[in-house]
Amino acid sequence: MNAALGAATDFGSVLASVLASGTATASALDVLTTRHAYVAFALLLCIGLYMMIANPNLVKKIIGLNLFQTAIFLLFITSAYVEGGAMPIVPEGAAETQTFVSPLPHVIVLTAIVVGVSLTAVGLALCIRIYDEYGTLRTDVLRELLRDEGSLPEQPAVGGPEGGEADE
Amino acid sequence: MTGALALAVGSVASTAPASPVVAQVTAIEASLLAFVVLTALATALARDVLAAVIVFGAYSLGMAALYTFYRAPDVALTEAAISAGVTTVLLLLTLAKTTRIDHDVAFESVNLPAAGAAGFLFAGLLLTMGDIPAIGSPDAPIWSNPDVTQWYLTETYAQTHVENTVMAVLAAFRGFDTFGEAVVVFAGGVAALIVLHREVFA
Amino acid sequence: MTDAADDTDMTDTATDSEADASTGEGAAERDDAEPDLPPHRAVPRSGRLDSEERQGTPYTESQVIMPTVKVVAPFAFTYGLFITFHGSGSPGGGFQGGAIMAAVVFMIAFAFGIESTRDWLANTVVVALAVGGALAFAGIGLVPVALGGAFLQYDLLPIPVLDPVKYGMEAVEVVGIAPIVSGVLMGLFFLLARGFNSDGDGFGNGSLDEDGSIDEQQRDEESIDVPDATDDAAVADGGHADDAGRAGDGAVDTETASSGGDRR
Repeated sequence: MNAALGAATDFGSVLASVLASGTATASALDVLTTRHAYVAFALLLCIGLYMMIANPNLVKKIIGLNLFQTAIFLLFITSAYVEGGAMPIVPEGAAETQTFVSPLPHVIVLTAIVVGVSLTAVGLALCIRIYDEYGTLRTDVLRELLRDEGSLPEQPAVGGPEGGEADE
Repeated sequence: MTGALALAVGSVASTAPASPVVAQVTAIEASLLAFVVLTALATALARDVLAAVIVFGAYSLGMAALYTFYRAPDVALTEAAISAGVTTVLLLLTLAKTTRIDHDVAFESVNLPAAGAAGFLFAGLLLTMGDIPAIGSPDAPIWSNPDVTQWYLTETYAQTHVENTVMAVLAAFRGFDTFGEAVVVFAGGVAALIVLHREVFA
Repeated sequence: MTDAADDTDMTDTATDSEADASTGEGAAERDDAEPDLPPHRAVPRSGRLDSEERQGTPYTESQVIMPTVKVVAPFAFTYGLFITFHGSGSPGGGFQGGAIMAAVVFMIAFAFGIESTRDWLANTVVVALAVGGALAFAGIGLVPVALGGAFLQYDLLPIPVLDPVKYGMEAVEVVGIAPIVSGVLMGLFFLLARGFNSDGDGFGNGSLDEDGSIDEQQRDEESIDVPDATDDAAVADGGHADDAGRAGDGAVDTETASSGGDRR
């Protein structure tokens, strides 16, 4: 634990030195002006991940999953963009003269959006079922209920043989 | 170990080529990106689930506008119809079927360990930003390699007589993947039926 | 608003729901069999969807939503069809068009009631769209295999006059993908609207209230009881009181969980 914390602080100091010294090819300001959508993608990814980890409500976890997915879509669409490019509707013979954005990442994203909605629907059906069965959508309460029902093993005792929810 | 990490970062940073100058951020792009990030933050921090769902609908609309700005109209149509339309409706139906507790506070408190983990991932992703080609730069590998995009753009009308290259790639050049995806959508419907113990959709 | 006449249990099949739709007109015999029908089921099921006799108790009293949807729905549906059919020349295609057509059905369901729309759009239609689309896509892909080529090799398709590649692609998009997407999305909507255990046994009361609001009244009554009394929920007190201190919903949920356990 201490080693991990030490590694984290070391990583933080290395990161700070790299970003501040300008030895990286693109300094921080350069990154913000030329790769702004990628920074937004990273932010959205982390917000979605935070929602999936931190919110105890199951429906909010699914919303976080959708946030995560749409951030990935933004990454693909941004990587397909070229300056001055037009929409990828190519009339006959126009491919040599005009610049178009690349259609290949668009195809990936189209497929992923539709698969994502069916995934969301199955997840929501599971939420309805869990609510109907246990009466709650919060994962911490669910954990307690499952533990009492016997589906989950008892939490290992921290402060004695009574079972340890004292630290909750 | 930290020395090795510093060496790795330094070597990565020094071997990346200098990016050419591309046009700076326009006002509309910056405002769309800011809108998207702000609505995502509001979704994450809203206490009431219904509020989170509604702000998520606004977020999806912002993303659809962003895709339109990046010249991806097919994707924007799909995102607007499916994410802003269907996903929001399905979430609202789930809320109607389960529960929604009224809360007094508008925003919930930030869970610091989770925020720390997400921040760690964000820092790691930022480290890689220097190596990705700038947005819109014409010497990204997707463009500089003539066998990738340029081939598809020139061959689409010649081989399929269809002007929409996205549809041509979906239905003709990569048609088998689309078949798999259609079957996955169908399987998603069947899976939802099984989860809710039904044999009919009604 | 529980469906007392609901017979779409686990043993229901597609033919049963067809019989469902056809006996909708003969509501008289159902009245004899089930005297305690909810009001919107007690009226005969013929005529226009928005007529008074078919609506019964209006799902929404809003005079803005219903005329707006009546005006907008045909145009939106036509736009969805246009996007599907013209997908080769402009942005669009099967996925977008299918999603828009499903969204039009959602709009109609919101304005005129999910039950009415469920009766109008029988389960057979939804299933036929989804299954038919999948079979059509697979069929169009397998015909070239039967003729000696590869899967989805369009130029071997036996289409007489037209260009086989372009119209094979159009067929896949229009007859294959759009029905699958629209059918599955509509089916998921009706499925999630019905929920689980729709005979009123679920905690969410099984369906939306008369005016379409989420039935949170029931929850609010129970949320007044604070969890100090819920030691019968079989959770040890220490951690659970902390849970309740943080937010009242955990306690409410275990309260209903214990009562739900009795009901099971």
